[in-house]
Amino acid sequence: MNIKNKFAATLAVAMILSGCSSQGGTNLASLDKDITITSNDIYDELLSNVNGQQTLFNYLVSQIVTQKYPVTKDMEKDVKLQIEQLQNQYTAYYGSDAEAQLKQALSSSGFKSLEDYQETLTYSYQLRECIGDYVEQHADEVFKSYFETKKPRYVSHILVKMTDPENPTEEEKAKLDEVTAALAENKVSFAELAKQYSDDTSSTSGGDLGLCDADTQFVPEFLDAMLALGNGEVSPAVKTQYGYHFIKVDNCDEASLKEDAQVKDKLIASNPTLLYKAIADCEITFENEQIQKIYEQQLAIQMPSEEKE
Amino acid sequence: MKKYIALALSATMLAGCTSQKPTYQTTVDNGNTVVFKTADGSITKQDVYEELMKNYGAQTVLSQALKHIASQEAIDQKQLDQAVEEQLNSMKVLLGETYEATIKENLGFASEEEFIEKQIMPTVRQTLLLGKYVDDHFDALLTEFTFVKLQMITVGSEEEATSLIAKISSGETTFEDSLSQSTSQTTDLGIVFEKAPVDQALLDNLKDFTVNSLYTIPLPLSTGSYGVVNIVETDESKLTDEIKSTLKNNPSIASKSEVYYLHKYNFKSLDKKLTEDINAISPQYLGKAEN
Repeated sequence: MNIKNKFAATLAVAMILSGCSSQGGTNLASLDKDITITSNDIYDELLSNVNGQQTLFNYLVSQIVTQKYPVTKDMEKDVKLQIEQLQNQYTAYYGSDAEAQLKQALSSSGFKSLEDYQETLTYSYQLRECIGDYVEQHADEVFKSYFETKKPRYVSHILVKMTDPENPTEEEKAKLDEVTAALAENKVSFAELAKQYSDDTSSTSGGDLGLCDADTQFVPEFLDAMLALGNGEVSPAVKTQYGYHFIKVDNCDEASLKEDAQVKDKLIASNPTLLYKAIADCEITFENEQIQKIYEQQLAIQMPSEEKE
Repeated sequence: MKKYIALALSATMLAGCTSQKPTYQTTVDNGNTVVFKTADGSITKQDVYEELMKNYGAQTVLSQALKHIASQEAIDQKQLDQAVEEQLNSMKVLLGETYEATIKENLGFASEEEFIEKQIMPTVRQTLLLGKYVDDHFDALLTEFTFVKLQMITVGSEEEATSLIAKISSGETTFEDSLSQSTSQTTDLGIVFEKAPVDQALLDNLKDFTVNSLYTIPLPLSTGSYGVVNIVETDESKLTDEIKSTLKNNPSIASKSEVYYLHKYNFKSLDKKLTEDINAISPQYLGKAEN
């Protein structure tokens, strides 16, 4: 075979392999009778249906986030540490079967591999950075809305447990009176009284329930009473299915809570539209009308119009 | 080290998180054209194509291939018209006055005609294609599988099952009476065969259900309960219509039909990565057909 023929043969093979098509795009698949499915067919089909449009939107969001907030060394370290902790936990629990068990657990959570999980975990840090940045830049407005709707606060309580709160025993009534009197006397701190009297497991930490808000899973009577209190206030005895509670708001001061990292994390977790607000705030340019239209439609679905920036 | 708190992320948020790896050999027209720019980078049409392919490429290619096959195989216009009318009528009953608004506003079709052409007709053709497969391969399917018509009363313990079997066997009660009187869970199982979505215990004992009568052994079910089984009919020739109907509604038979037609039409993937993706759904689509 001469050089010219060799070149022609190579070109022919290359054309077959790349699936050249006269229909536009390249051939992805074929059926009998010269029926071909091209890359253009699938591109057009997917952009015209919901699955494809959602995929495109998620892809664009991930590109905005990952391009603006590249993976940092700190993120890498943290992710590596979390992966190691996960592996160590599985090894401690399952021994020689740890790798298989972890693989199964990852698979049932939708991850193809540990590497896949690691990528997702890393992306979650990038998302956190993106949303966190938005919250920093729009702190007044974002916190105002959060404080108004969710009323975050640090809370502690004292529980006087009762078998049947509708018909307390003499002993239970006496304990309730004792706590009521001690609180009224105000000689001993609430935390000390919680340690002394509370029947809840939080008694060891002075009744501390940590950061709570309107989404915290409490029985309605407790939640309503807790949200009605001002900074430093203690509720009267609140009856619930568990007995009687005295609730104290340790801190609901907006100015100090705004600087609190826990509050910021709770705010982010409680508001899924923040990501899309952050994305809408990013500088992006479309050079394709179809892609732009799909992006805007999907963004509108994720972020109701009244919440758009 | 700066501490981060990982978010409880929704699946939607995470769906877009993927690594950038060159994958597909195929390219889309004008693939190098930039479609989207951020302050820090840009995305081309080929990037979008590869992302779409990675997520839904294989199933869309399969669906397009089967759509074409159905348009070649399901061509009985009378059957098609009837099936389309049935589908439309059931939708109209279901949606009532909101029918028109639903197809136009929710589903985005300009008219009923477009809705029929793009939504109803392809679905109907796929249904008819499966029906054709079952009709054309009915004898082979009868040979491949065992079909029996069953009823079952589920009770809490083996003792309860044994006692009920004894009462029915002695004539103290009948299975029918027990079915109607029982407060336990009772089920008319209809046609059961190896691919039926029923308790594995029933499938394991399928070959033993040979005589039309009460099965006198309590069946320990995977749930911990016990089944008292009544074998209603084992003669497949008396069950033709019911068996066909069961087969036409069974997902495993639907997959079998898809494999058959894809092979019949010599379906081939021309992209290595697409081949991998299709094989991940089922190696049979591109592999050797069963029949």
